[in-house]
Amino acid sequence: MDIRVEKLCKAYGEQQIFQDYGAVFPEGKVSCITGSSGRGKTTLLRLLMGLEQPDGGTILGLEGARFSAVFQEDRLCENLSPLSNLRMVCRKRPARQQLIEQLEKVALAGCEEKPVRELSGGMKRRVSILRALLAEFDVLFLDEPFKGLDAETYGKVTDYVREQIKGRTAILVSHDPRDMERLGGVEFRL
Amino acid sequence: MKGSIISGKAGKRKRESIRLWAVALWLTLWQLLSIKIGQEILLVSPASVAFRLTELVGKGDFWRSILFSFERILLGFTLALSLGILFASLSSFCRPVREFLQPAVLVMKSTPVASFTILCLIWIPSRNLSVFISFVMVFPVIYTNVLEGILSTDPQLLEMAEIFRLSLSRRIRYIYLSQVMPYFRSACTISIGMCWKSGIAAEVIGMPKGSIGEKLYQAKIYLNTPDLFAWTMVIIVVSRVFEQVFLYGMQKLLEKLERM
Repeated sequence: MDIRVEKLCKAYGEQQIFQDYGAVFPEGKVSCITGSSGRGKTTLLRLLMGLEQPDGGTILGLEGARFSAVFQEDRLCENLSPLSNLRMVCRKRPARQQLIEQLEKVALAGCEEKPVRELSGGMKRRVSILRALLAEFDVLFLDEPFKGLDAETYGKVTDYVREQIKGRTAILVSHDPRDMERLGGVEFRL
Repeated sequence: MKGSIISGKAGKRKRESIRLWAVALWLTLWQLLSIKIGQEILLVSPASVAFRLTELVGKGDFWRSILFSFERILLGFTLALSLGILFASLSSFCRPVREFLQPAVLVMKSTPVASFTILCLIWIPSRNLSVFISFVMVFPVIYTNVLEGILSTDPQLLEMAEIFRLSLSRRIRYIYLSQVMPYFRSACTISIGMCWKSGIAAEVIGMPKGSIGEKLYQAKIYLNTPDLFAWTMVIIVVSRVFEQVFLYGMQKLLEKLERM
């Protein structure tokens, strides 16, 4: 089912972020929300995820849907290993080898047992992306998911994400036009 | 295992270990001071204490006294640990519970061991006094630290848990445990030493028969300084060994939990 946003209103004090905003994010496709800073990209994502309530309007098509997300921040359990962070969201306990294979796909081989706090920013980002993809979801939210990745891993990770979300509903927020091109999404400019 | 949830940020810095040369220097200073004073009743020499200790370890009564005090202090500690965690968890999401417990915790923190001991002698038999006193001393430390750990859990992680619809058991195991552990660990380190000190102090006042406290009291009234020092050494060693074993066991348990 498509996600329909109708007459959405949201303000923080005097600052009106959305006034009667409307959009239809198609099912099974990647929707890319773009726009300059402060236009409410992350706010829209938070409204869709139900982390914030709109002042008015409706959001349809997300009732009962399972969400997964790559947040703007990594939001990993820093004292735990990447393996534990991944296990945390897997409904059925995955085999260790299976998780290690997934880590290898995003160039994280050999880091599986290190505490996340000892990983670099780019490595943490990749763990965060992998966690979002391993969780069972109907809708995936990606908020600047590839920030901090170097040129080499950027290509590898975006290829992997594209392959994993093919035919699934994903909403991407990004400043970087390359992200939309790599994931092949439909643009929604704020 | 490197990525233990118990290690936390503090895990990066190695704990300062006690250097053998420092211990040897202190013992030498003690020995010299004892020779200078020349009266064992005022300051016994480390050699005399060591000799007295070797005499004591051969006696069954020595081990029975240690066991007597150990099992009671351990019981008090375990009760404080369990109830401290339970009430801290309840208080973290139920404000009335937190407000209700606040005055009691404040009283427990501020009341001297001696006042509690004398009061409790009226209510409970002296042989179980150390259970209650070690409980009263440990409970507020565990409760306060665990509560602080839970309340300072990163709200962004809780939001993440909400989005991924993590069950309560997963939230506890992966999020709360890793956030609370550094607080819990430091609370345990502080309170293990404290429960021994307060438990034995209570025994000295209440003098339950066959306890370490009774032995200390007898050493005091007979001015038996070697015994006093020897028993003090025993308390330090038992407390330290207990602390190390407990923290090691806890670390292993958590690592196992993390791998589950």
